[in-house]
Amino acid sequence: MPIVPSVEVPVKTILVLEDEPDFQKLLRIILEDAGYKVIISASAGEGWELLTRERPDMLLLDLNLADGNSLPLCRKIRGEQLLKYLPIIILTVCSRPDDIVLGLQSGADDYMVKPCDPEETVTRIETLFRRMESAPEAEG
Amino acid sequence: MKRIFSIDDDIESLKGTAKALSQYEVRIFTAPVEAVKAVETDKADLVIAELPADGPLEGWALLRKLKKSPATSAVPVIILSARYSKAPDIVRGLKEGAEDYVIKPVPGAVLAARVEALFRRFEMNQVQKHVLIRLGPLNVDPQSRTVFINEKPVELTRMEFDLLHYLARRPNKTIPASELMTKVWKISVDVETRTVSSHIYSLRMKLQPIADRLETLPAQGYRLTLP
Repeated sequence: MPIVPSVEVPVKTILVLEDEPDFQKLLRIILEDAGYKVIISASAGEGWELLTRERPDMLLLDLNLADGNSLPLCRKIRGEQLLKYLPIIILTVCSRPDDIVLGLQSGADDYMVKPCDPEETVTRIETLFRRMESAPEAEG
Repeated sequence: MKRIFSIDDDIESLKGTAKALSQYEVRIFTAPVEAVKAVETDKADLVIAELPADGPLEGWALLRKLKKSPATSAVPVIILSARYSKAPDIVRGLKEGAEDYVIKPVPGAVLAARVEALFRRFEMNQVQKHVLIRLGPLNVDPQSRTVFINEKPVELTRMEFDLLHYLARRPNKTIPASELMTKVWKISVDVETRTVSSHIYSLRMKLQPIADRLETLPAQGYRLTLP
């Protein structure tokens, strides 16, 4: 007998904070093609509001948002009870080792330097979702 | 102290990794077969491996061996490779079970930050699983497996507790029945979703003062709406 899921697989929502229009469009296409629901905002301020209101499953964060540095947002998320476990991937043109270290130390789970390969982007997202469910978490 | 096994046929690279990760206990291996045996018998918290140039575990065989064997599959692996360094390699490595994929040469501080981010997430998973959850009048304590509403204890069966705990860790999110079957019941095949709905029903009965907060969203799933 074929094995089929009892109901549809859940659609995960990804919030993209990115202020470059071309990259916004590209990410929307890549992520929607991969089956995710995508919310995009260009501002860290609105991003915070969307995080608390929409409760996305993951955040893709550009480092150079027009309304300020993204790293304080990253740290704020890690300090907020309801959001602290949110998986975060930084996607940025900042490629210096110091930037990467600071981004990861500010709470990001992964760090990708633009331009990113579309398939690698999606695979890193899937890998992070898997990591969220790994070992201890998978038990319950 | 976390224990990391580092595998590479290049001894200089191994030394670099050990130096970058000096805050951990790092054991280095130049022979992949021997390394896999060590991962099987000794407790490693992480494996960092270059894909071997030759030998019985050449190329992707090493990662496959680690991820397919029940004795080693739970150990997270970071591929640290100069040999396979293109985007399709990264995609393949991650899809075959690596937790991260880093291209050599990599600054030691970057490798250390990536390892730290990985361990931090595993610790978060652990904490998330054991932390006392307070949602308005509802307290769920996974340590003692007790539930209180407005300070009054609520008697739940084991499955009811697991179900409530899963939902309470994701407040205000709609969770499909399929996800509950997989994660709470650990069944991923087609099973009558009445299993879920009947447990939701009995749970709702027992959560009386806040019963309306445990919602059924037809064709979507279930949601615990609490502040």
